[in-house]
Amino acid sequence: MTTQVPVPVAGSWDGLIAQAGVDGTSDIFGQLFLAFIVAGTLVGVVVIAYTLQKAYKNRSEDGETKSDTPDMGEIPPLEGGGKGKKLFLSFGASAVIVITLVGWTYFAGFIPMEQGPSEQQVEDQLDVTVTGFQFGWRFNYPDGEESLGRLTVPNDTVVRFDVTSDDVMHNFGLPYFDRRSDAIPGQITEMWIYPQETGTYTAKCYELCGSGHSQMAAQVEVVPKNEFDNWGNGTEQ
Amino acid sequence: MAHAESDEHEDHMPSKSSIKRWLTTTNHKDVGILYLITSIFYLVFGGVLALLIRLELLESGSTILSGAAYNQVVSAHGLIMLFFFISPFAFAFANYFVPLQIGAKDLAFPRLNALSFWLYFFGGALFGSSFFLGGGSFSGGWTMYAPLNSPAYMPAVGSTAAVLGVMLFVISTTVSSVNFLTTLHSMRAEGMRIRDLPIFSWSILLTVWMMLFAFAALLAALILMASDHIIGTTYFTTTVAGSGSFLWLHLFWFFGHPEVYIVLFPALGVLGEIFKTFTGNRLAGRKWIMIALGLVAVQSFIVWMHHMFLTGLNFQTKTLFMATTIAISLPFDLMIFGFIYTMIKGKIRLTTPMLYGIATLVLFIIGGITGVFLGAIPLDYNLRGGYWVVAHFHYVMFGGAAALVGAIFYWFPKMSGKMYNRTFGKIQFATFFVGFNLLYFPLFFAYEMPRRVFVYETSIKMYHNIATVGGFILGLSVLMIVGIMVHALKYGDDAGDNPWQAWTAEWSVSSPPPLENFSGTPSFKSGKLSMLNPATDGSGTEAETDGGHAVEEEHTDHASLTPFLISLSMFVMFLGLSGVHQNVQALHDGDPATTATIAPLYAAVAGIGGVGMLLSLVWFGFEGFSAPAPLNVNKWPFEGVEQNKLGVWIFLLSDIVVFGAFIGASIFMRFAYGWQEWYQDLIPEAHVTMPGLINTYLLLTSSFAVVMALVAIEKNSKKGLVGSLVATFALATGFLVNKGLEWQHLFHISTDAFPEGWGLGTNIASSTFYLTTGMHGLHVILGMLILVFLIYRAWFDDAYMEDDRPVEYFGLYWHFVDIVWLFLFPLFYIL
Amino acid sequence: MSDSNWKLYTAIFGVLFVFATIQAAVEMMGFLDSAYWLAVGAIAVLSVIKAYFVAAYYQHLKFEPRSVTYLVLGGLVAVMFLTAAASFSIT
Ligand SMILES: [Cu+2]
Ligand SMILES: [Cu+2]
Repeated sequence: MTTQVPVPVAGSWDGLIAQAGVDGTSDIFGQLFLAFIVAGTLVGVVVIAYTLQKAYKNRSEDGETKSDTPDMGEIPPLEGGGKGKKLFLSFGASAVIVITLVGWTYFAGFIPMEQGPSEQQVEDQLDVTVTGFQFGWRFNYPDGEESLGRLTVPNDTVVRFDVTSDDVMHNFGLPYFDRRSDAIPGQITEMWIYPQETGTYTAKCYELCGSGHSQMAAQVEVVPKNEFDNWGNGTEQ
Repeated sequence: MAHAESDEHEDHMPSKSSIKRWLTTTNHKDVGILYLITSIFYLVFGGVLALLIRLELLESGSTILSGAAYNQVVSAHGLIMLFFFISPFAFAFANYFVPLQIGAKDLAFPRLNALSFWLYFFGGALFGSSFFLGGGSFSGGWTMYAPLNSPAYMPAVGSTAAVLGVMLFVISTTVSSVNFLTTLHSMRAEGMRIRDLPIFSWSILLTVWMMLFAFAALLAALILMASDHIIGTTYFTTTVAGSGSFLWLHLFWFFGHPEVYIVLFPALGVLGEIFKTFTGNRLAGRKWIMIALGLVAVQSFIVWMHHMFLTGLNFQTKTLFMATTIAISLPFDLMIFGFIYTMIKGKIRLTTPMLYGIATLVLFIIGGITGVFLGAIPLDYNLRGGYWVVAHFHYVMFGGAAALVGAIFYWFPKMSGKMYNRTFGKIQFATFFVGFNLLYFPLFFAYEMPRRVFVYETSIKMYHNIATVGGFILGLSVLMIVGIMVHALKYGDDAGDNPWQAWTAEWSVSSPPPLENFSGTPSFKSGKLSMLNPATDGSGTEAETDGGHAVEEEHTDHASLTPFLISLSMFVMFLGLSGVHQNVQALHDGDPATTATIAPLYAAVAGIGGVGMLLSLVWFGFEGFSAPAPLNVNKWPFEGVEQNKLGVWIFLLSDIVVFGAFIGASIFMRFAYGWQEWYQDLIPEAHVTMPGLINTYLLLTSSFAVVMALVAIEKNSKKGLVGSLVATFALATGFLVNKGLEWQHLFHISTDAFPEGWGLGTNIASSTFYLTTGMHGLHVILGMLILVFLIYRAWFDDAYMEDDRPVEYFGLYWHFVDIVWLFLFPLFYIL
Repeated sequence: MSDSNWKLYTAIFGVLFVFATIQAAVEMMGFLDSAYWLAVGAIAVLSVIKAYFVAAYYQHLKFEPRSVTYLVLGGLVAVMFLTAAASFSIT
């Protein structure tokens, strides 16, 4: 129903992404998150420190207010206390930071995330249907294999999920792979991961779905390619 | 719609120490105090639930709560804090101080103001009682996502009761919005243009504008959900293309995002007042702050899908809503800098309210920055549904509420006449601030943990344990507020009229202010507050320094029991409705035998409530009541629109949004199903155009009859007036009879496609048809009730020949109902 | 409602009556089967015109300050945007 949309900057998106320093196969979330943390902390510390410094420096030592406060019940002049220029300078700076940051995530993160690595980038791709139900996860592989509560995927392969639900809304989340996706009855939501390391991870449900929501987890096994039973059936895209 | 609040009775208000006073008061300051006390009760209620959550999270896994109980607790915590605490808390101050700031004696419709309060009060009572009805309270989270919210997954009587409790609250907010908008647009004293509003009143103006639209969408969503529960429609269980889930998501978040600002804006307004007062400066860039607030209010309605980035929206939609989301963050930057720069060249008194003001800025900056993370889609893909969101919105919304706590410390001396112990205040602040940050900051580090679960990895146990400690410190600080206020009421010194040397108009009157606020007619025409023809009877600024616990001596007929009674009977009716559902389902399953055995008790309760409501509405209509006279000095942009008419139009506007949402829901569901397949698959042959056409004729003619009633008044013909109104009534009756016959027929058809008839729950097409036209039918019935009143008054009291406004305003409503039908007819009978 | 012209109101009533009949006729004469979207468009336009007449004259919006009209349009725009954006988002 969704995604797999033609990317508007098709043709040039590889270039854009390369420019932004992230390619579709790397740890997009980790890099963006770090950048946001750094920028956010910086801005936050500066602004809060400035606020507190002003409050402290201008504090009233005798507990009295200014001698020239406005008259009781005054109609204030529209401009109020002035300082318009300063206001717009800081506003401009903050706007630049926010727009740059979020714009960068758009090109460096959003676009590559929507499509995932192409087959030129990563040859091996696997489709798995994930169905949430009260309270567990079912996984269907292209060869007709089905498993409950345990997802097995090959390493070094792009795994594409079609996420849906049998009953209420759930959310299929893979914290280790930094990706979550809603599971909605009657529709399919797409997401992908690109495991780089074998191991055992967990899938959790990130949307309140009923009394068993807390326990609604599944095991995710990333196995070496040659151990993956279903290999060979799921490569066609 | 009868605002005939003009009779001049001379009556004494009962003493403040009598219960009767508080049940019957309509004075905006009394209502403000009622809001304040009730909302603090819900702060404690919601806070106890929060502490239950924190205790449960001390250890991973179910310890003190089961999964089901935990879900009820998180859901109730969210719903109570958002609906029954923050907004009413803010509106305590709005009620008390907006009229004072704009130089008005009261709100435009004092009885409706009392009605707002009592609807809120009983909405909360119904919500609270939901825990004790069968099956416990609602357990689908405060976001109430579909289809978990539908009776298939949440059949308990208690969960329906909780939804209906919220619905009562939403009705209350609609009444409030109409009242405050009319007040702010038509009751400002001479010389105060809309742009001259003090920042708090400006923030309330924008808040109520947002409320009018946003809560109308929520009301529509709740009605659809309640109808799934009570009469068995299938909106949210429809899974074709995920349409049921998406319908809820869209309606809910169209409300939900503005709701964030609805709870935040009053806090920002308070922040502005506090910063002005305690820096001694005017707001820096006041104009820009006001414009920024206005921009945000408008923009808040075009960002809702950023809550749905994980639902698989298409690429273009995600891009668009990411852009609008960045755009809405920008005016906030401007605002925040405006507040910060207000401190420049100030002489800042670090009183308790000012400490709260600064703290709010700090908390809000943290909340804002962490919110930008969520607006960036690639980050949202790994943050939504987890503790990052939890931490972020508590910083934004509860951080905003910190300013409202500051508002208590700011305005308490004005409201009570007493000054609290300032050292206690600062200790309370420190406790609050430390508790707050200990509670919420660690939660950012738990961002990989899903919200609303109690299972977590040991690696984040430390964060949860710190948070739990913080939670209890924060809880303690809330109790300290109550303690400090009670202490001040008993032992506090007199605060004087203007303890903070502030300069908005509320500080020009005595503390507490006299019943009618000002001792003359306030005017701002000279550029500052002055009194025209000041009264000399001593109820003015210098009187009442002794605290005012004595019987108030002012006299006007300001008391009415009907708001209380209307709300009480609605509570009873909704309580009954919450359990009646098996009843109705059995009926439309064509099995009336079980009807008598299932829920007769609930049905009876609902019936009693309905009758009670009818009787109290009649009383409301006939009761003599004196409202403050409209000022009609400056009403921009509604010059020349009479005050009651303005109220009617604003109410109709909210109704437009409610009906628009119903119609939009039908279109959306049909679009998702397949526009033409819908007609072929879901609608029986028997559903023909003719009954709809006949009803169109009937309704059009009835509209014409109302127009003729006004013509008759102009021709001074009482018979013509009564005749036209009776004709309107008769045509409306015809409309309902025709509809009834049509429905009966459709219920009982038996074809290959619909062997069991075409009932409410047959499919989504029948659901949209019955619900939407049924809601319209309810409007017709409501109009007929008003008609009975009008006909009675016209016939027996010779009313309206001098003053035709009630008939005219009824006409506005009736024509609106007509127009709605003009769109329902093609949508449900032709296409 | 200043010096009302009841003839005007009667004429409008007539127009409304006829338009409703036309709308039904479009369906009964099978236009919906032959040119569905054209017929839908025609029916929608007729409804809008009818609503305009009722609002402008019976509710005398035409004679109120324009701000009241903007109020009403504001509500309409909001719900139409909601419906359109919601429908588009699931395509
Ligand atoms: Cu779940
Ligand atoms: Cu939002």
